[in-house]
Amino acid sequence: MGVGCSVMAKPPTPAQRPDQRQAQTPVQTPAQIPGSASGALLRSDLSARFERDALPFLDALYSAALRMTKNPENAEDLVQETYAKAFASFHQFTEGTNLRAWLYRILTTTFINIYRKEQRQPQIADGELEEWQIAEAATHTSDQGKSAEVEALEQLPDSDIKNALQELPEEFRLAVYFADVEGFSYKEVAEILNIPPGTVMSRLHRGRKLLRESLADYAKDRGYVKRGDAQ
Amino acid sequence: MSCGNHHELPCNEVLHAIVLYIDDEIADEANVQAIELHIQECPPCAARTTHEALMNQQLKALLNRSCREEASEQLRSNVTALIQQNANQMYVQWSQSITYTEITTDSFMHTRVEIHERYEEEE
Repeated sequence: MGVGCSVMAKPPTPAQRPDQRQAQTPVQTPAQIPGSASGALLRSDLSARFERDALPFLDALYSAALRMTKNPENAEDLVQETYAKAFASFHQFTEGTNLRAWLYRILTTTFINIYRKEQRQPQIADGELEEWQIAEAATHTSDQGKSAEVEALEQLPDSDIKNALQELPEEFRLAVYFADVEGFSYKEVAEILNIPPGTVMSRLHRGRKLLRESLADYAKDRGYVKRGDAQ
Repeated sequence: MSCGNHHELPCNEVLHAIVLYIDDEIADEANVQAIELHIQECPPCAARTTHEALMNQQLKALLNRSCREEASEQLRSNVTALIQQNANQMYVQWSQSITYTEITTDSFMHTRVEIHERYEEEE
């Protein structure tokens, strides 16, 4: 992977490249002596452990990346960048803690840094969402017609479901994806997205509702639901 | 949306907490038990909970059915290669002089450039 170093006039040496800085940190600890056998030992140990533990998440990370970038080429770049960063700071990762969540956190941060710099943040303030959610919960309507909707949604092709998810605003899409596809808890989603757990809750609940409405529209368009059948 | 009976925990509080209950996100076991007790006593809230759980479950199933992708062989070999490549780079750094690597951890870019040149002259 080639992250160039534009500040330097000369071609960057490995040590100057910003993405390598974290990787050098072990040199400073007295236990690891540079140039000695321990360096080689550590290297092979670290990369073997990384391949064994982190590589099995490749498909899952790619799936998430595709939901983020919306196209395969960018998703592949994002995944590669994520693995490069993860490996560079793998020595800081505490074995036994949640590697999967840690990798998703790096994926998300990388995505935001690379692909979303110029984009605006959520259009709807999270405070408003809380209000919305309370209003929604308190005034829930009849459940009639919704079981017809449940049946109709079952028939939707995968492409419609992907499209519906894709069309969700990003903040809702990622909350729904991490909670409902990856099965992370609100707290884990909060850590991955770097937002408060309360915000996860409102984004997730709102996102699910928007997604369900969108899926119902797809089902209507395909004639699986008669107009007026589901509200 | 009430069955008209008095409950220890009012219906509107249960309705507010339904999604959290279904998502297993209520940390306090006493609160979970209060909700479960209410659901046993109150058919409308029980129906509502069942329905919400069904919808939730369906959405998860639909998403899981359609959003699982497989990484290409190309991506897999690229990632494996970059791990190896980065591991080798790390080894190169570790086999260089201490002076050099200590300096590069300095957060000031200028300091790093200066030391880098000195290092190259040594070579």
